[in-house]
Amino acid sequence: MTDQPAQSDLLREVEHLRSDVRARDQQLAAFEEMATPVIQVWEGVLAVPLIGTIDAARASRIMESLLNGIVRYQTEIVILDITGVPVVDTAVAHHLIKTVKAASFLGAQCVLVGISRETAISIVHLGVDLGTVVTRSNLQAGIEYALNELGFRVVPTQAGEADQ
Amino acid sequence: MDVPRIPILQIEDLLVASVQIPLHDLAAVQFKDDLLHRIHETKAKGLILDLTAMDVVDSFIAKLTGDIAEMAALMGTKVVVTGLQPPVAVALVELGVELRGVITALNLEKGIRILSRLTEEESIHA
Repeated sequence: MTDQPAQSDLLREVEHLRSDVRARDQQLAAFEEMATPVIQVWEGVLAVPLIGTIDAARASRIMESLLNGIVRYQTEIVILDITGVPVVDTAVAHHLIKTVKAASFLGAQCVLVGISRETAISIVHLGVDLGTVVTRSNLQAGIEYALNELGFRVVPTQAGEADQ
Repeated sequence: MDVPRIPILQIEDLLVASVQIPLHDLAAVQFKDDLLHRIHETKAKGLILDLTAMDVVDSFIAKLTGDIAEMAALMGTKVVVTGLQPPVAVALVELGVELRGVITALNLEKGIRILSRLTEEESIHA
């Protein structure tokens, strides 16, 4: 008879831990989603802003959501923005090249934008060959390039012209 | 055992091969032989390899698929691979397949558009 309360205490404890784990799983899933946003900025143009350090696990998640995004939105051009990536070492560069290649296999072209001074220095010093990857200075230049490729041109409106 | 054959359709001077069944090793090798034979026979100017229905591949099939596309391109036909699925693309990259001389497109429609533009350009220059 003395066991009864102890057992129910344990059961309560287990239930408590279970809900804890569930909550944490949800948080993790939300965090992973946040870690790799894939945004359609125009019909046929995706933007992927990368923020924070990239390790192997994250790189493969980025590749996965990027490739799925390309198929879902039938994308022709992907803008990879690495402004927020603090360090680009050989491993990260290699991951980026693999992602670009996989995207090209699907029929989408990648534009790499936001390469900082430090990143440019380290890419050259590491002897990483970015090959034929198109690069542009920032997101704006990337979007401009993408629209250009799709046959669009950004022009000021009548009102804008009158102001100038 | 009967080896399933992948139909290879001819539309004017283009060949269209759409893989609609899961390829096992024998079927893939048979497909390679059939395809290269048809290219030689028809002297097709372009080939569309539609892989939309292929979603899971092992390393052998992935490598062979890349090889088939590169071989066809070497034979002088313009190869467009269409509808490659993300897992297949990842497998190809991981295996170091380059798809040299092969054009890729998102779907069959875009592939046909690219191919007809390319062959048209060529016939103007010729």
